[in-house]
Amino acid sequence: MNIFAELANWFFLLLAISAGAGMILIKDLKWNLVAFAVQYLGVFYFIQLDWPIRLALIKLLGGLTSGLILYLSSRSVVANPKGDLAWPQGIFFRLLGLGLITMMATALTPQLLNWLGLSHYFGVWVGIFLMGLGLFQVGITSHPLRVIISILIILAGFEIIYAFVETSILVSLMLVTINLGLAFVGGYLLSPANIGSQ
Amino acid sequence: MIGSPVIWIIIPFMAAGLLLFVNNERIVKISAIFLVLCLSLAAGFFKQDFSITVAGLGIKITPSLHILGRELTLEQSAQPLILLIYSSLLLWFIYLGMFKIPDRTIPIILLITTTLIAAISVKPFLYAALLIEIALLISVPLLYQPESKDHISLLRFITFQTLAMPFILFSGWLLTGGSPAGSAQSSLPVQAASFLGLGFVFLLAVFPFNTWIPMLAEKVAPYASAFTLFIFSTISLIFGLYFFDNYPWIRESSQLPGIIRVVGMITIVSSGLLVAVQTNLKRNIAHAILMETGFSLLAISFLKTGGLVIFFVLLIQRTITIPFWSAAISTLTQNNPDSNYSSAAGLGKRQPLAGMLLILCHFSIAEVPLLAGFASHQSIWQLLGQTSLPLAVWYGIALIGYLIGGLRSFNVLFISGQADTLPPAFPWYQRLLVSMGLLTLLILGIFQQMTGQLALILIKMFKHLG
Repeated sequence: MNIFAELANWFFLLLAISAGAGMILIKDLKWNLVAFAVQYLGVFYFIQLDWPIRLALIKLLGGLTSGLILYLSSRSVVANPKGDLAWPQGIFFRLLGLGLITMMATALTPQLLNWLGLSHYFGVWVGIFLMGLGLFQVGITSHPLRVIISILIILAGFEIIYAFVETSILVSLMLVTINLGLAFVGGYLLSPANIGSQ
Repeated sequence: MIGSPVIWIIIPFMAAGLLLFVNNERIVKISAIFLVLCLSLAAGFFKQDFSITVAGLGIKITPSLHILGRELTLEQSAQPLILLIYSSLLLWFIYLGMFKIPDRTIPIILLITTTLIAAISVKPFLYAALLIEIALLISVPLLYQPESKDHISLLRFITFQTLAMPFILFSGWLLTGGSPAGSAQSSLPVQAASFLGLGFVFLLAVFPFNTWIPMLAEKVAPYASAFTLFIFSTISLIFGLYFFDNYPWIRESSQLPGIIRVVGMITIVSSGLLVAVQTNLKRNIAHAILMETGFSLLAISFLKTGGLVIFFVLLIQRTITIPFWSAAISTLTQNNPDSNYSSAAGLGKRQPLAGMLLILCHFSIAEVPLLAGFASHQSIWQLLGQTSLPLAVWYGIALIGYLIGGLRSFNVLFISGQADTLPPAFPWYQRLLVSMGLLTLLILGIFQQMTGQLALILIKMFKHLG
C-alpha cells in the first residue's frame, strides 16, 4: 500500500475516533449532529475503497441528509436535554467506554477479517468501532434524538463492513432509504408535543 | 399478464397510500373493509396461470412480478396464507371500525401488512430483512401516542428490530454464495447459523430482548400494540421457516432443533411466570403474544414429527384470539383508559361480555379444554414430554403461572370492585363483536379439526417442509 493511502487510512480512522469521542462526551445535541456528519465522511472514504465513487457518494449524501433532517427537527428541542441523568459526572465512564470500544475493535478486527475473508483492516476496524459506539450510546440514553443517532451510527458501521462483501446497488439504496426513514422517525418523535419531557 | 403480487401487494399498498389523504374516516373504514374483503375473496377463489377475458382484453395471472431485477413471488400454494392474513385484517378493520381511533390508523395498518407480505414473497429473500425494517418505520405513527410523554418502549422497539437487520443481511450473504476466500468452508454453516440466530433473537424478541413488549403494550392503545406485535411476530416466524425450507443443512441439522427448543422454552417460562405477577390488563396480552412466539418456536423444533401442522394451527388460533382479546380490552377501557388492576376492578361486572371474552382469550392460550388453543398446545406438551421430561415440567410450570395470571384477571374484573346498578349502554355493534368472539372461541375449541384442516392446506406453501 502506498504511503498516501496509508496516511489517508490513519487520518480517517483518527477522524472516526475523534468524532466518536465528540459524540459521547459533548452534551449539546447540535454538536452531536456535527460529529455525526464528520463520521459519515469517514464512512464515505472507507466505502469508496471497494465501491465506485459515485455509489459511495450516495451513501455520503444519504448520511448527511439524515443528519440534516435530524438537525432541522431538533431546532425546537432544548440543546442540553435532561434525559441523560449521568451527565456530566459520567464523563469518566464515557471515556472508559470509548477506550473499551477501541480495544474491542482492535481485538475483533483480525477475527472478522479472517471470518469474512477481507483485507481492509482500517475499514473493518472503523466499522466495528462505529457499531460498538452506537451500541454503547443506545444503551445509556433515552433521548429520542440520541437513540436515533446511535442507531444510524450502528448502521453506518455495518454498511462499511457490508460494502466490502456485497455490492448490490439495490441493497445499498434500500439501506439509504432506511437511514432516511430513521431520520424522519427521529424528527417525528421530536414533535412539539414531546418537548416537555426533554 | 398480471403478477399475483400486483393483486395482493401493489394494489392494496397504493390504495392505502391514497386513503392516507382521505379525511373522512367513515369513507376510509368502509373502503378499507371492502378492499380487504375483495382481496380475501380473490385469495380464496383465484387460480393462477389461468386466463380470463374482460371486454376483449385477455388477462393472465402469473405467480411472479419482476421489479428492479428482483422478484416478488406469490404462488398458488401461498394463497391460503394470503387469505388468512387478509381475513384477519378484515376482522381487525371491523373491530377498529367500532371504536374511535386516530386518523390514518387503518391506512397505516394496511401499509404495514402489504409491506410484510412483500417481505415473505421477495426473492432473494435476504431483502425480507430490509422490507421488515421499512414496515417497522411505517408502524411508528401507529404506535406513537402524543399524550404519553414516555416513548422509551417505542425507541426500544425500533432499536431491537433494527439490530436484527445487519445480522440477517450478513447471514443472507453467507447463505447465497458469499464465500469468504480466507475462511474454511466447513465453518461457513456455523457462521451463517450464528448470524441468523442472532438476527432472529432480536426479531422475535426472545428473552432477554423482550423487555420492550410489555412496556409498549401498556403505553400504547390496545389495537396498535396488539396488531403490531401480532403481525411482526407472525411474519418473522414464517420468514424463519423459509430458511428451513430452502437450506437442507438447516433442515437436517441435529443440533438446531434442540437450541430452538431451549430458546422457545425460555421465552415461554419467562412470560408465563411474569404473567402471574402482572398488575395491568394490557401487559397480559403482550406476554401472551410472547408465549405464543415461544410455542411456535417449540413447534418449529419438532418439524420432523408434525410440528409444522401445529405451527399453523397456532397461527390460525392466534389470528383469531389476538384481535378479539384486543377488542375486549378496548371495550373495557374505552371509558376508563387506565388498565392497571387497581383502576380496572369491577369492569367485568359492568361489561360482562367483554370481560368474559378477555378471560376466555387468556384461558385459550393457557390450554384450558374446550377453548381454541387446547389441542395445539396439548400436542406440543406431548411432544415435549416424549423428548425431554425436565422441559415438559418447565412447560407445566409456565402454564400454571399463566393460568394464575388469568385467574387474577378474573378476580379483578368480576370479583373486586363495586358494581354499578346499571351497566353502561355500550353500542349494540360492540356487544355483537364481543359475542361473536365468545362464540368463535368456543366453536373452535369444540371443532378443533377445522383449524387442523386449514393447517394441512397452509403447510403446502413450503416445498420441502410441507
